[in-house]
Amino acid sequence: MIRRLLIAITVLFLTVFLILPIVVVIVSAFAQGMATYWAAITEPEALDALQLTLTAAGVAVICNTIFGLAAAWMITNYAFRGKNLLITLIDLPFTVSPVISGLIFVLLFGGRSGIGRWLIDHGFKIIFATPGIILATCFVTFPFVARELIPLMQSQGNQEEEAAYMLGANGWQLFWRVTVPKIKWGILYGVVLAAGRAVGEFGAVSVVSGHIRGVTNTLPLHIEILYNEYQFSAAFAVATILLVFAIVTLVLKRYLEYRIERKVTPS
Amino acid sequence: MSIEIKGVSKQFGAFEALKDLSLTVPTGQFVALLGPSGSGKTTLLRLISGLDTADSGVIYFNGQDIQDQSVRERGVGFVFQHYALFRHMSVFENIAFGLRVKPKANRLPEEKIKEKVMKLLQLVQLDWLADRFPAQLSGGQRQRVALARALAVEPKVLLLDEPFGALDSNIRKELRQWLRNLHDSLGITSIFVTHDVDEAMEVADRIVVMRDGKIEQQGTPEEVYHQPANAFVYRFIGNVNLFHGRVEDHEARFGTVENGVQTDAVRAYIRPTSMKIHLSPDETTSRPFGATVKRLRNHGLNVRVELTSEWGEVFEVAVDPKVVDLNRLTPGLQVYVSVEEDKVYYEDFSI
Repeated sequence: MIRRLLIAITVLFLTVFLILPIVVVIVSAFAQGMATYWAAITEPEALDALQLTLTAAGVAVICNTIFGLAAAWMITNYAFRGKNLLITLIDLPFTVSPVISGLIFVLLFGGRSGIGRWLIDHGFKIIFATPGIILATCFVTFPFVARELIPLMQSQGNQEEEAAYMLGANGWQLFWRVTVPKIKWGILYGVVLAAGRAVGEFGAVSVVSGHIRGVTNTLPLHIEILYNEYQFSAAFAVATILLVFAIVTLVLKRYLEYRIERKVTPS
Repeated sequence: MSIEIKGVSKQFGAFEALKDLSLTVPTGQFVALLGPSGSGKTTLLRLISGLDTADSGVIYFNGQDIQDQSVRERGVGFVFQHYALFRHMSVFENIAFGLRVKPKANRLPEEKIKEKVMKLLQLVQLDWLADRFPAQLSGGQRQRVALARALAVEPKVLLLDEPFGALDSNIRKELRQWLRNLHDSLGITSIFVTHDVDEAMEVADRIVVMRDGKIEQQGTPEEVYHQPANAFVYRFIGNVNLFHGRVEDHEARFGTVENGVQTDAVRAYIRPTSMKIHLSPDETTSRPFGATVKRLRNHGLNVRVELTSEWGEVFEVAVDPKVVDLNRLTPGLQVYVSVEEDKVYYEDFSI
């Protein structure tokens, strides 16, 4: 009885919050026929938004991986003052509201600040331009890889690296032949999570974007504009692209979790 | 290769792991660093390997300061307590690693690497496991792979950090003997860290007993056992009985207080094998003390008799069943115990 009740609650919840919305998105996207759908996702502004989204996500993932590796390496291999503070600070973007994150960059690089003035005078536009969007995306996603790697590397220790060092490996060989194979699934897992978040990010990007169509519009922002203009079908059509990203992320995430589990408990 | 360590100190935060320590290891010797945990033995081994650097002092390999040498020039093989095998590589690739990371100019061609790895696998008797991964091996097999991997780069010094520490006692004893034979056939200078006295006794040419970052004594296993430099070494190497006493008239006294004046405390350590049980005081020429038999413990060949001294301290005496009739040593029996005076070690706590 209790079991059935629990199943019923779960199914009801999933239906209302997950399946119904997805169905609505798909149905609305195709409500006015295939032609409208195709037009909505192939119009230049949509493609520009897609391109900007992918660029921002790509740059964010690369920065993330480099930062995550450096931070995790430092935290696991060296003892230094303020280590715990650093671990805490890495989580900051998760605890700060994305809108605030966006505002930080507007205040830092906008026309009203000293740095912003100087940059604009020298021809670098950051706010209401692509660099701002990339910065905001990097900021909201940077904990992912680091958070994944720190516990992984801490649990594995550095004995294998020490062994490689004693066998005459240089730093480069040590990193690529010993460290990377140990943590590659962890890196990929962090990358998938970061990419998923980067593609869907709305709040922080919205603040720094300025909503210039075809220039500083990402997919989520483009959807908002379409929706506000009562182009519901077009809005949902573009939303299906994000849906595909989400499903791909989910599948990859599950696969990587399976691989990492296998790593931890070898047959 | 000879190793000379001169005035080395190492500190971790407020903890002094090594205090102005000096040690010389001649070429080809097999040396055990023996001591309780926290005595600095692993720290010393890591300094010799170059994994850590000393705060002060110098380490020479064949008269050359290792600080000026790269890892390759030093030629040190290191075996870790927990194997530290590369878990994503097969046994073969683990052993080949040191050969593959060499600069192109002096790297062996692929077929030579293969030949050499197979030879090493035969040496450690694991050639049938070449394609397995470390997770598929037993502890003893892993440690032998780790040893083969360290030997692949032809080190002139082999350092082993508690190499059998994580293994079962049966496999431990087997590997000990095997390691000793291997050392004899290769003839490379080897240093190994252990807290197991039997292991050090069985394997090493020379034992270096450490405590609190200092060397207490170094010598052959026989020297360390039979001529311990001080009470600590005596107590650490083999079983001892502890007696509490006082200093009276410049002499250690135990038991009955003759003049009723308690002065400075003194401790005496006596091995169970350095005492004899007599049924009457006339059987011995030395001054025996009285004791009561508490119980007998039979460990196969050697029998231990647990006794209570006339002043109430519990101690053990080893007896040879061929000499003493065990049936007569019933619990509660009053006996007399004599001590080989030259085998007693005193630790003076007077300030």
